[in-house]
Amino acid sequence: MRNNSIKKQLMVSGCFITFLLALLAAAEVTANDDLVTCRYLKATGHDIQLQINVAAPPPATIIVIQNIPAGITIKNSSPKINKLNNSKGRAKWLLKAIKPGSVLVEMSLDTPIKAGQLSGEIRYKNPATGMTVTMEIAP
Amino acid sequence: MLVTLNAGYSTYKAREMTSDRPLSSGIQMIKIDGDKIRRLREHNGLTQLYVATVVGVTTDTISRWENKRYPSIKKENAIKLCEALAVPLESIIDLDDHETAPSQTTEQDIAAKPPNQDQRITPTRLPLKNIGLAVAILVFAGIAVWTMTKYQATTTPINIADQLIVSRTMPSHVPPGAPFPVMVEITSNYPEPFPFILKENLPPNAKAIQGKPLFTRQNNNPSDLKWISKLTGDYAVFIYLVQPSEHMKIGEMLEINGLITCKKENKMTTPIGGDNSITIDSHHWADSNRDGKIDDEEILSVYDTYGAIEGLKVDKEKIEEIWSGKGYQWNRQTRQYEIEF
Repeated sequence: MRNNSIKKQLMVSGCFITFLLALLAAAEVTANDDLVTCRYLKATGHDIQLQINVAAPPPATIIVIQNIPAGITIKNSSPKINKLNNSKGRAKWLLKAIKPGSVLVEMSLDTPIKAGQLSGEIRYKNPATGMTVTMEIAP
Repeated sequence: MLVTLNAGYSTYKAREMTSDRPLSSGIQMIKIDGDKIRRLREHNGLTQLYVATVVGVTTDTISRWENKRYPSIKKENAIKLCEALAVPLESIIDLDDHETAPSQTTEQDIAAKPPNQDQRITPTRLPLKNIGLAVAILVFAGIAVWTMTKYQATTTPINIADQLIVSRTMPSHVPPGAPFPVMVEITSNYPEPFPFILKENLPPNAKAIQGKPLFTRQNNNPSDLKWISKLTGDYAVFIYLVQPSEHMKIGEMLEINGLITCKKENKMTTPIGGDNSITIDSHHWADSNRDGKIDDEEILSVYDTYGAIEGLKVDKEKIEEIWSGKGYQWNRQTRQYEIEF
């Protein structure tokens, strides 16, 4: 009877510790994900807008990679594209001197784009870990 | 230990009836004749105090020996006693060697038995007392160790050398004549600010062209760089640009050595760890994998490491230009990077 009670207490304690560890791990993942977030504000038509939100401490630099469907070209953008590979249909921006807050990247296309045709990603080094993080831009 | 001694009390008691036999502890005992000792002492006109002083015991002990309260004494004490009385050892030995009464004790027994303990003490009380004593000793020892540790922690000076990590980071390669950054990072766990001198020694075929913060040249020697500073936090970084000679050949190496000297309670000099050599190569220093292009990972590393240092001429524009192109080549004649777009 007494042994059963001890076993029960041990099981409850084990479950509680496991739950705490899982909670901590989840909090860690969330913290990493929350440092930089990115999403399209406008993902159809001629004008495309994407917004990058940066928390503190910000990464030194963020690379934005925008994939463009074949046959479509970017007429202009703000800020200016730093690297354009027409054959791969890929434009890159190197955003420097990043501060906590939001950064807007805008571009005008020569041909209107349909929903679901856009894709892109961002890359940065997490200042806390020094690891490179690659994240898809949310539609 | 006391329990063992007392448990074997009756056993060794029986064994010690005869003279000049070692106790279980290995001490040789002598059965003495108290009357003879008293007579010899009084015959020689000696006081108990004198005899006690010569033997190295108290007058009470001499009295107990003479009154036969301690019929057996240590052999070494018996020898000293004979010296005091100026007689041979045989003169004080109890030649009767009769059975000693159970109530009689030796001086060894007194030492082995706890105070006020006699034969009537029940065996169950003894372990409890001993456990209590052991616990008391352990508690006392614990308090003593804790106090000593705390005292040491507050009074022993912390060695700065044990609290410092000084590491140099520099690229693995660089073309001849192309400047490259060298970074010395100081990480400290030392609880107080402390002054230090950082010295870097360059080889003769290289020169320092910029320092953040500014360096001074030791003895006006262009190869010896020096910073005198004070570490007020837990981290400091010193960056300088080195330009290797344009005449260096591909495959040659440059070696940089340095020292840090700190002074607080003690003066401490320690070499700077980390990277200390760089190879002359045809690839840009930021092209860490030497694949002829600067990729995303490499440019992010450059900005992550050097981006926050204002005014440092690491030629980020050129690095960005190379990153934005498809690739580059180092032109040995013009000593320029030719970028392919």
